[in-house]
Amino acid sequence: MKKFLICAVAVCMLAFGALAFTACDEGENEGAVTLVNIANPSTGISAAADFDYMVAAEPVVSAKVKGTASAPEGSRLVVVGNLQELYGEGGYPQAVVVVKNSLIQSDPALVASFAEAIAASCAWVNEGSVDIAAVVDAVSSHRGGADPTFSAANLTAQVIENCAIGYTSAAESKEDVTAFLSKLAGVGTQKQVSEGFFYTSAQSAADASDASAVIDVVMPDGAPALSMAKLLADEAQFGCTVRYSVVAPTAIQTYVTGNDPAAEICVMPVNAAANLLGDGSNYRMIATVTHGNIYFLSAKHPGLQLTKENLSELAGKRVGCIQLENVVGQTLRAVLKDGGVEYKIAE
Amino acid sequence: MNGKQTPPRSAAASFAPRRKRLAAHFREHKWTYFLSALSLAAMWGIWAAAYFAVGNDYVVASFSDTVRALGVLLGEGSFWRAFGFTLLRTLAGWLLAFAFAVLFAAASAASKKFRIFFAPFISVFRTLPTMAIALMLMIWSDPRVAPVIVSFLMLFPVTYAQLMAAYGGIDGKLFEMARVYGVSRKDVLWRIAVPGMLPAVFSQAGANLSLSLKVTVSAEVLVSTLHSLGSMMQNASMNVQIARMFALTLLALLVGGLFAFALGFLKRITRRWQGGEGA
Repeated sequence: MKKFLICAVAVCMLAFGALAFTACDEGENEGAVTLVNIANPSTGISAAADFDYMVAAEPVVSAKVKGTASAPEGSRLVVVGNLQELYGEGGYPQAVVVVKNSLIQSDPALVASFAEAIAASCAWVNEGSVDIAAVVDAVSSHRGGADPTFSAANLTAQVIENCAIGYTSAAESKEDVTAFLSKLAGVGTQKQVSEGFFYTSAQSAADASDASAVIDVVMPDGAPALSMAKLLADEAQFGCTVRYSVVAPTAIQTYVTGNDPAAEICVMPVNAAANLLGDGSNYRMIATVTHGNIYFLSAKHPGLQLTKENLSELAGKRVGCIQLENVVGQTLRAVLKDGGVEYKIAE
Repeated sequence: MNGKQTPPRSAAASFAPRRKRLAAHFREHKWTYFLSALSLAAMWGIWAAAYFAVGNDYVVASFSDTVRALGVLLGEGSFWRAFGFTLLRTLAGWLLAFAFAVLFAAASAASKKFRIFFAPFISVFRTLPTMAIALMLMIWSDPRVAPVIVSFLMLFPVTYAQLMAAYGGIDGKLFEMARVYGVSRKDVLWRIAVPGMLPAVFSQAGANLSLSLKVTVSAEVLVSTLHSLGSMMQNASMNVQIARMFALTLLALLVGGLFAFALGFLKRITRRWQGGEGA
C-alpha cells in the first residue's frame, strides 16, 4: 500500500510538472507579438479565446462576424484588418495553377485554352449578379462525399469579393510570385523557384489535339475552387475527357508528387508549388488565381483598424493565426517583419 | 374438481398481475432508479452551474436554448438524413470490428504462433493516432467511408482484447477434456473457445457501440463528411450556433446511452447461454 501511494504521488508530480512546463511562457521579449497557432478555425476562432486578435480566412471570417453580430460588446467579433492590404497593393499571390510538362509539350494550344477558360471563370464568379447557388452546386458536386467549404449558408457576393479571386498570367505575376517567395524565405524555410517554373509562352487556344486524352484537373476546396467554378459548372471538356476534382486542401500535394502524379492541371498554394515543383522539371505555373483571403478579427479591440502605419499596436498582444507554419502564418510573419514589429511563436 | 366454473377475467383483472410485477420490480430496484435520476439531475446541475459561471451564451448555451435548438433540429430533413448516415457508419464500423475481431481471435485461440505474430499488429492498431492516417484516408478512401475505417481501427483492437481476455478465462479443463476425447480442432474452436469468448463481447456491445458513435462523429469532423452529424457540429461551431452545437452533442449522448441500454439486454442472452445449455 505504501509503495502504491509513493508511486501515485510520483506520477501526479510528474504529470503536474509536465502540465506546468507546457503552460509556462518563455518570458523573453515581452514587447513582441505572441503568435499562436489555431489548429481548428471553427472552434479556435472565438470571442472567448485568449487572443487579442485572430487571423482567419474566408468563409470563417464572415461566418464568425455574422454569428456574433447580436452579441454584447466584448463578445462580438469584427474585422479589424486585411492581411492582403498590409502586405501590399493588390495583395499577394496565394493560389497558382500548375500544368504538367508533358501536357504543355504535347498540346500547348489546349493549355492556352484552359488558361483562357480559367480567366473567364474568375471573371464570372466575380460578377455581382452571379448565381450563388450555381457556384455552390458547381463546387460541391465535385467534392466527392465531403462537406464543401462554401455552402449556400456562407457564400455571398461579399465573401466572394473578400476571396480576392482574379486571374493573372504567369508572365504578369512572375515578379510578384518571386518577391512573395523571397519574403516567405526571410521568415521561414521557403524554397525559391527557378526561371523555368513560369510558363509564359503565348499560344493560340484550341481544343485538345487528341480527343482520347484524359485530363485530370484537381483543386483544393475553398477560394481556389471558386476560381474554377465556371469550368466545374459547365464540365468543360475542351474536345477530350476532362475530370474535375475538388479535394481536401491538406491532400493537394499528393496529386502533383510521386512517380506518376495524378493531376495534369492543379491549383495549389504558391508556397507548396514552389517547395515541390519549383525547379519546373515536372510542372510549370501558368497563372495566379487568388490573391489572399485572410483577415484580422478581434472582439477585444474592435475600434482599431490595423494599417501599415499602426502595426506596432500589435506589440505585446496575443495573435491567434490559422496555419501558422504554412502560407498564412508565414505571410503574417513577413508583414510583421516588414513593419518592424517583433514577434515570437508560442510553443 | 368441484364443478365450479372460472368466471371470465375482466381487462382490469388481467392486468393486475402485471401491475403487481411492475410494482415489485420498482420496489426491488428503487435505489437504482433513484440514484440514476439523481445522477442525471447532478449532470444538469453541473451544466447550469457552468452556464451561470461562464455567463456567455456564445461559449456555454443554456439548457432551454439547447432544447429549443433540438426541437428545430428534429424538424429538419437534413438533420434526419445526416443522423441516419452517421448511425449507418457507426453500425458499419462496429459490426466490421466485431466480425474481424471474432475471426482473428478465433485464429489466435487456435494457434499460439499466430497469436504471437499478431500481437504487435494489435499494439499498432491500439496506439495509432487517427491524424496520422487521416491524410491517407482522404486520398485512398471516400470521406463517407473514412469514418467507418477510423471507427473500425479504434474498435477492432478493443474487441479483440476483450475476446482474448475471455478466452483466457475459459476453464482449461474443458480443453483437456476435448483433448482426451479427441475432439477435432474445429469443434474445440467453434464449440468451446468461441462460445466461451462471445459473452464477454456481448456484455460490452453497448459500450463499444457508444464508442463507435463517438469516434465516427469525430472522424466525420476530421474529413468533413457530407451529410453527417460531425459536419453539422463543425458548421454549427463555425457559424457560432452554440445552442445548435450543444443540441447535436446532447443528441449524440442520448443515442449513445440508448445503445448502451438497448444492448444491455444481450447480457441476458449470454447468461442463458452460459447457464442453460447442458444443465
